[in-house]
Amino acid sequence: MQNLTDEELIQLSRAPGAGTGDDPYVNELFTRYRRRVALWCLRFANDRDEAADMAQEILATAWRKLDTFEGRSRFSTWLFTLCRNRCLNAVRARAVRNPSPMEELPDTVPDMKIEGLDDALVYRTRIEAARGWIRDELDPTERRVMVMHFAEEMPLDTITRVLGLTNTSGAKAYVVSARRKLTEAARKWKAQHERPAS
Amino acid sequence: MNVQRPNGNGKPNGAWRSALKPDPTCLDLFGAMSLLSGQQGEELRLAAEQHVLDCPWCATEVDLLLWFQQTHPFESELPDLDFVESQIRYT
Repeated sequence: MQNLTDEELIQLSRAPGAGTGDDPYVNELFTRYRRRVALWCLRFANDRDEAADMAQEILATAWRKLDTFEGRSRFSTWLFTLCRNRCLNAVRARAVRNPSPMEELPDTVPDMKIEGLDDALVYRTRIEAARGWIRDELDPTERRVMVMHFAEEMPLDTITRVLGLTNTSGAKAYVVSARRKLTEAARKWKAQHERPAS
Repeated sequence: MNVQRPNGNGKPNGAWRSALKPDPTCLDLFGAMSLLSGQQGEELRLAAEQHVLDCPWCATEVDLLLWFQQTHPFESELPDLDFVESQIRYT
């Protein structure tokens, strides 16, 4: 059974004659993932009791909803979305009860006024420029930290745990270095484009 | 990936915040992984790869999925991990 893929296990569990009770294929499938789910929850919660509750809820939900798995993705992707959503909800609920300060974003993206473009397009251009600098200037960890903190609004200590960052100041150090790099990139762009014509 | 829309327009640093969030061209994770796997053809796979390179949100989503599929615990996490695992009952 260990040589079967996750998706093959699901197919076999749905075969005519497969029981709905203690299904060995489904048991094998969940045995493969219980530790991964537990680790994910532990890093999000940083408290083993809360993590145990979260992991229990995620796996019980997955067990109940397994019939709805359509095979559009790998089983691990499907399970990941359950984990991700449940854990982010927990982080947000915790943030409401106990707000933690957000870091500051880099300086404003330069105003890229272009003759003939309306404001919406100018704003789109600024977003595209910002994405380009994020892609080109940041290393992968800086990028992840920026998205998780400023887009997902995850506290820095949670990001530090989830990503397993072992440096002294954790995710904060990556925000600081990313902000410095992005501010510098925007400053260079501005200097280039505001240089008076000779 | 298609969870939130850019909403920073008009706010200070709104362009940075919007650049970090998903936009209307982002697919949900199932759609993105299907394209990236090449199941929908080589052209769409390349387009999806380029999108993931350009879009910080999608890149992070894919990274976190890979993390989920591959990461191993630190030695120091093992006692708590064993405890959490021992508490799980599926039904």
